[in-house]
Amino acid sequence: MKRQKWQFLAVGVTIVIGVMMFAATYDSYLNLTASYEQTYDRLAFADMTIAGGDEGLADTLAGVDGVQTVTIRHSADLPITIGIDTLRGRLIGTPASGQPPINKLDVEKGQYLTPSGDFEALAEVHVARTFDLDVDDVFTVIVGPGQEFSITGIAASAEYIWPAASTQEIFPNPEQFGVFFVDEDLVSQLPASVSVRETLVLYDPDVVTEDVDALVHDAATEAGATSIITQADQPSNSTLQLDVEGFGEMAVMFPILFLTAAGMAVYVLLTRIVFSQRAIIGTLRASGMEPRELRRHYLSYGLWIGVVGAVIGVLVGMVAGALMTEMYTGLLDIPDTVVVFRPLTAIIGLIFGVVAGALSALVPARAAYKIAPAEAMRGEAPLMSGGKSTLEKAIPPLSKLPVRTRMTLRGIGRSKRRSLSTVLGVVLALILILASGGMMDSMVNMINEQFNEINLEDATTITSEPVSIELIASINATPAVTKAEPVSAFSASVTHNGDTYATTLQGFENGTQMHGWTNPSGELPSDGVLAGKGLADRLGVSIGDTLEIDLPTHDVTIELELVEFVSEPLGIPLYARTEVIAAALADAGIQDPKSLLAEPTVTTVMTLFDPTVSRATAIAALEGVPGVLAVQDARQLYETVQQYLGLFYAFVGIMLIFGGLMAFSLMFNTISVNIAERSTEFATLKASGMSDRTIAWMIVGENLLLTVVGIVPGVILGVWMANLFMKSFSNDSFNFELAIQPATIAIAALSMIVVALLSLIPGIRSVKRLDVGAVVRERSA
Amino acid sequence: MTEPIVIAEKLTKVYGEGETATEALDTISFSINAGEFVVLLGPSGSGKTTLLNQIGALEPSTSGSLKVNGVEIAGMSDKERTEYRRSTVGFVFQFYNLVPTLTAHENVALIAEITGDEPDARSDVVLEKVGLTDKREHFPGQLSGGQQQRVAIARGIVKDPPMLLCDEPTGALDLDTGQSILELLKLTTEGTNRTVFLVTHNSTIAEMADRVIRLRDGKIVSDEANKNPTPPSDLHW
Repeated sequence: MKRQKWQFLAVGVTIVIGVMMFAATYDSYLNLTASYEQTYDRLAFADMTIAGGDEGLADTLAGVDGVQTVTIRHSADLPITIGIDTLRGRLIGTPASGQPPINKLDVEKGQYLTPSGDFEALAEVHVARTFDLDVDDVFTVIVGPGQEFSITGIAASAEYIWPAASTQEIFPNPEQFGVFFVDEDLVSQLPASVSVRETLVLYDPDVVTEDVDALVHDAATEAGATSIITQADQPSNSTLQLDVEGFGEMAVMFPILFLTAAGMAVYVLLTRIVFSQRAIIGTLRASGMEPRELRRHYLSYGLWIGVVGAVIGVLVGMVAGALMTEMYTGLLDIPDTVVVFRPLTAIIGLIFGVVAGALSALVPARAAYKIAPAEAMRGEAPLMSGGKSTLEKAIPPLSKLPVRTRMTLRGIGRSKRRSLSTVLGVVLALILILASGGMMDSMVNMINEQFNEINLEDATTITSEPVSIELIASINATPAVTKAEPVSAFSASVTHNGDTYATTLQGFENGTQMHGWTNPSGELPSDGVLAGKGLADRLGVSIGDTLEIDLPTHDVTIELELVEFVSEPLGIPLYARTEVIAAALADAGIQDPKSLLAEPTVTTVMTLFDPTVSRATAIAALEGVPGVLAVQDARQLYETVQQYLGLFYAFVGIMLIFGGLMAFSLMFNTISVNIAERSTEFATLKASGMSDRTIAWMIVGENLLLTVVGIVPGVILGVWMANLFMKSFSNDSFNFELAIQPATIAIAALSMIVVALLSLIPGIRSVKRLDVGAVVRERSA
Repeated sequence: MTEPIVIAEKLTKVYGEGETATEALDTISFSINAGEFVVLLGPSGSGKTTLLNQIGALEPSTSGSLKVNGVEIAGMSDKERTEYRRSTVGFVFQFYNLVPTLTAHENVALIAEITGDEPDARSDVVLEKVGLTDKREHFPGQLSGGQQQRVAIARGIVKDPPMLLCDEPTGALDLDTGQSILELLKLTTEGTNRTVFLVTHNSTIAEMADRVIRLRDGKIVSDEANKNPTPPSDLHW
């Protein structure tokens, strides 16, 4: 091992990275799952959250087998002000008398609501951090003359670990959406048009969740519920689960890639060692050494490198896993952080490393004891049979190329397993790089598409009075505004064949400039409704179906024909022209749909800004328009995300480095072995007057050709793997479509060529340093 | 009178350092005329292959002088050594050292390519000289040991070098094949003024030489001209 220390080191590093990444990601996966579970258990996170339904629903559910507790609460989204900022506040009712039995709050600072206190509130940690809120600070709910609330504490909630407003609003702007917990008696008194009655259900421990889900779902549907959301589909939980699943998938992918690479490298290296020690093997066998002793000896190479690599990998990985968990829970404000030493992770990691080392050593070790002693003692391997390369056979004119070029082409077929090893190194590295790069590209593309092609508005203006033609005209007259349009939005629930799905219904003007349309016709149809394509999977609806759309805040159900599907990355929304919604409301018995649509809780005014005016100036100008209550900057979130792109690409960069290391390890070993095996050949060429440069070019040509051969399947498999990942991450909130950039593929491919060239340097230097005199006197050794 | 092609003066080659230092060549001096068939004879470890490597500029000397065609090669740079080997010497090794992925013709042409035009035609000429025209497209694995050594000789002479350096060229061959190789070496140098250095531990082979230099422990123990060389076919060992 000492003679090939660099080669073994390269293999060792690959095993260390593979095992380390397994241990880190697998432990993070388990730690995060345990952290969530602990928080969910401690805070009695609802197993089912139901909106609407008749009065007797809670009693009905309490009688369902497996249901432990049922509670009712109300919540309302209302405009609030914190200092000079106006935002959408979600007021969630919670008993002033003490913690609720379901969805308890983790009061991190201050205290819980007091039974005797008036207009007290607990601020959810995200809004508290965004607005630097502390105990005794105040905010005002803008209802009528306005009502001031005093903050008694800062609390975390299992429902808002990821502060998603709804399944359709996974990324609300933190400066424009905040959650507060206030006395349930106050929220329940709000009119039905602004508050939602929610039934929370907690199951008995140890029940089969899916079975109880089904029973509760049936009962809630029967009772006319407008939204039935399981814990798995709860917006915060389902978003966080994406990340957890990401860790879980990485915990499988990393060891497979790295340990395959390491195994191949060990195999190539040991095959070479066995080949070079044929004479010794023959002598030992002739001296009576048992085959099993030989096998054990050569197996021990693989075992040692596997054990050492796995031990280091497990130790580093477990520490990294703990750090990753703590960073992650800290970053996301997960109330509980569970970091546990998991012997099973260590054992699996060790097994991975040892098995990879041992399996790859098995074939060379077997080859060692299969060598006939007499043959081995001659120390001479049978001369390989020559032959034209596949390329030359396929393209006969290649046979006219200079001999050194033909030699390069034939070098590829000289040792098929070794060539396969180089190709495999490239393929595995590209899978790693493109899977992570493709995911990042797709996320960036998704955000760009959502904010640059679909949500086109610069700002949303919330008014304090009904949205009238005059009000829109005055907003439009603001110098910084180039266009203003009313846009209505309803919480909605679609029912089809007994299944219900909670979403939003938005109404736009004909020819709207505030929204881009991704349906086949590219425009908002003159009749009927558009739906996110995920609705087809969710409810089994198809074009031409009539959708029953319940608008719970207005206690009305409208019917619209599904005309086309839109393909949007975020959520599964419904869209119709405002006039179509108005007509449907009239058909459903609403006396004055125009007035209903003008209500500021229904309709906001979206605006486009003059690009020559700064956004801050435009927003300030809008805020000064009489009747305007608040202005939400629609681009702020996009710009915040843009700031985090560096982090995304840092992740891809790390994968690029790891992928490069993996490819380097395999290529370096393969090339080292190749050159060692051909040292006599190269020495003879040098003795004959061939320059080092010519020999180097032959080696470079051979390996670059193999790299290119690996790049083709590597790119295909990498893109396929990225696509697989994106699909596995898609849910109601995210419709991930793979959108890998050509530049990403080009960079990945180019990096493989750079890695190939780097891995050639030691080999080429060794050719230069060849002791020609010594080598040509001996047989290839 | 023929001019000396190789002149060595107090040539020394030491491998290793300190206590492990081994003096492979110990201040040897000799001169060789162009066109001579020289056998370097001696037991294992006598320094004969080291001397051949010095003449072939495969490794630097430790001290002393070695001039080939009046040019000092002891102080040559790597690049100059490569150029020297390309233009001045051809090698034939005991184990042939052919490239297994190239045919007989390609093995020869590979070297022909680095030394001039029309490598294919020149390779065909030397393959004919060594009697392997019909094996032109055979790969080394399809050739016998003797045939492989013939290809190696063709490779050595395709550059038409003034010196051919042969290291135990019959060491891996049976008697008949060995004889035929020696005949070939003799034949390919006739009328060319090419100097041949042949390293062997077999004193019988020395009988075919024009000149025999015996070495032992890195020193020349005798340097004798052979006025009546024996034809290779009459040699038996």
